Amino acid sequence: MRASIGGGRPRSRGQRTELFWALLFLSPWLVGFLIFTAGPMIASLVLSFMDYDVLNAPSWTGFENYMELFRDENVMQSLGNTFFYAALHVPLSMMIALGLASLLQRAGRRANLFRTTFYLPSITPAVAVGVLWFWLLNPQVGLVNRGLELIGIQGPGWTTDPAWIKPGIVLMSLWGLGNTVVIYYAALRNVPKELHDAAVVDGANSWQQFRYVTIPQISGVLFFTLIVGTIAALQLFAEVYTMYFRGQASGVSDEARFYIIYLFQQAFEFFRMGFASAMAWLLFVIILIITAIQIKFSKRWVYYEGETG
Amino acid sequence: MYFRRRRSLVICLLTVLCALTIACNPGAEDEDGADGSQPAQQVNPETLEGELTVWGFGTEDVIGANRIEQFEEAYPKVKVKLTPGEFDNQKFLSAAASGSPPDVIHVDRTIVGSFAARGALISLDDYIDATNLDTGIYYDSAMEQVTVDGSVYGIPQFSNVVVAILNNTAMKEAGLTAAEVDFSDWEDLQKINEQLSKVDGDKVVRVGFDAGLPGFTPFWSAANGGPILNEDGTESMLDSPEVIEAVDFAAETREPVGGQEKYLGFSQSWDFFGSSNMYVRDQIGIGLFEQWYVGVLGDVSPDVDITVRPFTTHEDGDEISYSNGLAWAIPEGAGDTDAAFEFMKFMTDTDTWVAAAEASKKDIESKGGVYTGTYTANNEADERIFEDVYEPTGDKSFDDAVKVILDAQDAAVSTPPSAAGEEVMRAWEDASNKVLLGELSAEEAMKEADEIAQRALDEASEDQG
Repeated sequence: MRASIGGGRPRSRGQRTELFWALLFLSPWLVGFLIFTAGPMIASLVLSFMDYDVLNAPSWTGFENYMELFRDENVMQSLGNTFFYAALHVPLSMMIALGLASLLQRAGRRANLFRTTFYLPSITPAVAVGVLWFWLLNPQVGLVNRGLELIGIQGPGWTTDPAWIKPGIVLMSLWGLGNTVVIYYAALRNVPKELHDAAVVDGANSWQQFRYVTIPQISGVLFFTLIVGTIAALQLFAEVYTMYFRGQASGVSDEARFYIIYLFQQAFEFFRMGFASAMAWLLFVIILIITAIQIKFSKRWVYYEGETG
Repeated sequence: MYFRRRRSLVICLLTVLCALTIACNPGAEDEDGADGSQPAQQVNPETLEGELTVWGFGTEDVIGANRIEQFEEAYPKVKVKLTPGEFDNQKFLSAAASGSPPDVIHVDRTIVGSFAARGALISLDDYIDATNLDTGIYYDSAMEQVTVDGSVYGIPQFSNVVVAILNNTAMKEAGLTAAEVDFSDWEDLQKINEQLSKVDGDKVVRVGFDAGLPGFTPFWSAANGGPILNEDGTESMLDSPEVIEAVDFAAETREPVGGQEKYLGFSQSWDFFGSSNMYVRDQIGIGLFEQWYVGVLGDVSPDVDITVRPFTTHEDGDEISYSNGLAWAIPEGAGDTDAAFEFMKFMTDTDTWVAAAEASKKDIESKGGVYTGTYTANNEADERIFEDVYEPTGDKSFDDAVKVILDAQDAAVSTPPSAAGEEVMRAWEDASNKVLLGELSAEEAMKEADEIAQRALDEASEDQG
């Protein structure tokens, strides 16, 4: 058994039969992966070296599309917008979700009700979220600024002032963090009570318990949401496209043009599928690098139960 | 060794998959995808059989539903399958690439040129000749937008033209009359804009003059004597002095309400299609809109006090408008092109339009609204509708509007079709936004837009070559 798992060739008849059945049961996923994920990915890699307008045969252009990535100012600007968003959204969403999950833990019997309430926005369609928040963030009549007015703050032009468009989008994105709240809530419930009791005996206050007991115990889950959240943030599309790019000209500047939106425009509005493919691969490499860095640094702060040394 | 071989096998498999993905893409074939059949000379509606898939057209409004009913009655053996909602580029490109495009598309005319240049649409010339369709019945400005290199690629459906809608309540309050507004004198127009604009502290209460930027950039340019593209749609003229001056002025009209940000914050809150629209709530003084908005006002707020005026060229004062709208087209590789062309012809036929207009009038009046007419891209149909169907309502606001709108059709200009229509549009839209937000001067922004547009036009031209 060890041989087949560890990398050696299965030699016995029993091992080969086992492998056959394993592959047979995995085949629906494997076929799906090859046809719907790996195939298109490789096709897009090939297309990234081609001039392809979808309607006519592609022609080989070598690295031209990749060179164009660095010449096109919009690519860098949209990438900058996306990084700005991810840098704000990921830590804020993690902190707020953890805060809400901690409150849930103290909610007792009512936790189920609150958990459902927090989770509901997560299942709202992205287009509906975009439309809803475009209204909520309206500088003159939106509920967000009206709420701020009540406490004496003059709200900014969330959807109209270039300096506030991205923060407005971050605000919108925080509405849908119920998913993360539920994951954190489950993780918090799994922290052994004995550890907290021991910390209390040692004289730890609430903050110290949270910092030195809770955080290390849920660090695996925090790391998971950090990775998944970062990837999702770098691929934000539907809500922002609905808010600022669907239909009539929105009248805002380039601030709302995120990377995937620009990629979509290149592919399906400007018929530049080859260039869009190159953009997709650049993002893939960026995500790969960021994820690799996150994994490397995770060893310093992520604790896995059962891990030794 | 074992796994190295497996890895090689997987790589080979993926490469084959990739090659298959591209090779199996019928849209990527070099050859003409048409079936090569000749258009039918005479079609008998009773016996014509087929199944048509139509994208981008729905029956949500009476005008659309009625014409589909008429078609199904006239062509009982042709089954029409509609995919409602706005035409979706992404969906169409995917379908075209996989070799299964719809039979008919209902698409914005600015895209027709891009699709035609890439061979995604079939030329309708043979069908027009075979069926003796008189294309002279369609407005010239609409036909120009669907004619690429002398060949017709679409049949215009609607022709939306720009007119000025004046809020009489606001005009009276400012001590002005509609007749006083001279659109050819931009200095005077800005003074009127200032008089009509209303701001309360930090909040905008009324926009004095809404120039419709960035969407109407080509219209403003045309009004200042500077088209955004040359006649054959191959050269960008976005950096011409006329275009720069027009954008500069149109952007300045936002200043009385505190600039673009304030304007957007206010205008995004308008109940555009509702009975509490900005004319009813006195939130706008004068606005440039496409003519269909007059119909919306008549439908949802028949008592609103407005005056519709034609716009004029800068300084010369000649009437001018700008035409845009949708058209029907047949994608390359469509199944039954004879039935598809019959459908397009029928849907834009004079008699069909007149019957649909009658149904629309009946429907609006039954709900207590005012029927302000049905405006099509068919000149002959418009004449019959306004002679036979439309009846003056007794409401001066809407009765006077009819003549203005019909005249605007004759005075309308349009942007010629180009192989990079969408990119050119994005270029001037982005540039106008930058001017409106004060990020760039009109000169800087339009020069930048001109370079982007020209590069896109050149690339599209190279692709065709």
